[in-house]
Amino acid sequence: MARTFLPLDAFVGSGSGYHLLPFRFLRFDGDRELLVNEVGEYLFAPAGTVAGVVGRKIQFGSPLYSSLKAKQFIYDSSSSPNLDLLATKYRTKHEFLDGGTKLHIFVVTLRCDHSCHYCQVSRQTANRNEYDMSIATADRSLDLMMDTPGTDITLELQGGEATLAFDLVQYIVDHAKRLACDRGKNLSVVLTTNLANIADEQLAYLKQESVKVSTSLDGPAFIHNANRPRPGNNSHELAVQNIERCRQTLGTEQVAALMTTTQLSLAHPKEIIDEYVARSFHSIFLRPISPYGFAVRTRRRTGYEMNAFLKFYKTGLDHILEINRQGYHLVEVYTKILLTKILTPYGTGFVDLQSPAGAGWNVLVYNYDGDVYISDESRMLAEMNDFTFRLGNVHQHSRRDLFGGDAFLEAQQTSCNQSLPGCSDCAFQTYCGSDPIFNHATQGDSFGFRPTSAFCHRNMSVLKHLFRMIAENDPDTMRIFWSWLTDRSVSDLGTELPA
Amino acid sequence: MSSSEASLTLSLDSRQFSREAALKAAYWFTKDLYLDFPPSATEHLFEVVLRAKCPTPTLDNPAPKTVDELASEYRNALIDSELRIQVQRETSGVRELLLAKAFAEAGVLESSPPGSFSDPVLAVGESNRTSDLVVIGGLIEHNLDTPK
Repeated sequence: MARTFLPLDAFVGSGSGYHLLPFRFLRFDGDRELLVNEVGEYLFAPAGTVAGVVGRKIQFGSPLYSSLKAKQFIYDSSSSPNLDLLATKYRTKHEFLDGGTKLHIFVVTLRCDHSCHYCQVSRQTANRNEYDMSIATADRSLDLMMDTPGTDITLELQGGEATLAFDLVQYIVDHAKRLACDRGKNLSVVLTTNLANIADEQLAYLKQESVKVSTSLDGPAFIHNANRPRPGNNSHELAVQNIERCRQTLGTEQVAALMTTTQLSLAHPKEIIDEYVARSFHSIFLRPISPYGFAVRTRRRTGYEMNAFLKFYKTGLDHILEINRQGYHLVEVYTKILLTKILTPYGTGFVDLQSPAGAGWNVLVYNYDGDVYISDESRMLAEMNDFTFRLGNVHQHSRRDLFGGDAFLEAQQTSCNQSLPGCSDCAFQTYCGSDPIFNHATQGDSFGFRPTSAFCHRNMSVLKHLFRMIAENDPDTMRIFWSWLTDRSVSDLGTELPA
Repeated sequence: MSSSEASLTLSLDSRQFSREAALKAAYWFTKDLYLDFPPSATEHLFEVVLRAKCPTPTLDNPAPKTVDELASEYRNALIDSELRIQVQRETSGVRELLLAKAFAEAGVLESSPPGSFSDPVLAVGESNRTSDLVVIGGLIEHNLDTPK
């Protein structure tokens, strides 16, 4: 049966004026502006566009008018504000808020056999059992973890070196699985370990319980061993050898590695990345050092200015893209996180780049002594006698106490970049986050001061760098980016890419 | 505009630039400048006094920007700041409604918002009838004609 459509003028609007929808912008370079709407959709436009938009100077029916309307920067009589669509997009972008805290980190012991210069953890020598979590503390922490409203939760067991308290690891995993079954939770378990002492029976247990392994690999031996001293100076040898053992026992996908960039690393981005390729990893996270713990005390040896890290990151990203062009799938994790926010409707579960801040909302840390913190970084501050972000203790406080107490509420006041000075107007707000703990640690208050903030400098610089690449629209680069976003090889993508 | 070696005073017309825009733009310059907003005795005019924090070269900053250079950058930033405020002013009602809808439909509000999601959303200048008030989630209780 033939269908009848309304006449054309019912769809094209009358040209009698348009209205604005919420957006932010920045002068991208001399002749372009970057406009970003409330849900992270962006538009490059000629300089002066925003003034034209606000002054109602954009010509009805022009390509620019159509782009502004299609991307929901403006609406007119033929297009309602389409709030339902925008609301759906907004909710999708903020899906990480659903279900409460997802990542629960248990510090099972402070004991460690390494003495890493940058360690966030207040390590203790390996034979001091008073720094292990007690069974009573583990039980109470698990109860609190299970009280989280969502169904999908991740239990991360870390130290110190968690394998030094493996009997406790086993107790917590076994108990957590029973509780998760009773409470209807989907539980994932991750063991963070340097792998130096992992035993066959420990690996067998991890396989039996489907526990994933997260370890450290800072690069080739001369960097890794310098960053991560241990008796015998063989941290790298043990790490690469035991990564292979883990893969053989647990499966390749069950083993992940993280690197930390120290002063020594800065001159060697390519060597570090090549080491990840040589060890058959398909992702690498170019991470700056955190301003906490031993990294503060060893700042002269390990620290650097953010500009030096940004140079390292950009050189590294170029090298990673070149490796991808040669046919090896290698993802830079931070870039992928940001590209997900820029190029797709989705947000990410990455807690360091969320608003409201992931600390507390999406991660809680249960220390060996029962104290609860909103992040691992805030626990490290406490080890430096700064208890600003300590929520309470598992033996004294309920979940309601922890989340209703002054420490949590005060952190929340500064956890939304939508309301922070400098962030509230920023075009990159949707892609970025807030980090009250970083602000507190580096600038003395949790609001932070954006003009001198290393957090802001890093993210503004990286985002501008990525947007430049997006604007250049090099087909090879964009195909690589989309291969990262879709977890497919470049060859599987074909030639058509999303607009 | 008047200036001495390390300070400079801008006179701004409040019909062109709001004090809010001047303050917001100032935020990013407080790294390099001290900024004062003295009381104004003249209608429609207000002053911004810019004083350099580091007017002389140091080892850390061998070529500091002059107050004149910073003032030029500030004036450009002021234009952007004023535009941002205009966009926010025009879209704040829609933005609040958008957030209310996003979170209400996700079921995370403690109580159901009054009104209906099919309530009309009025744009600036479309109507001033009280029957067109938009009341969603208790967040918007004014006609969108009225600047907040």
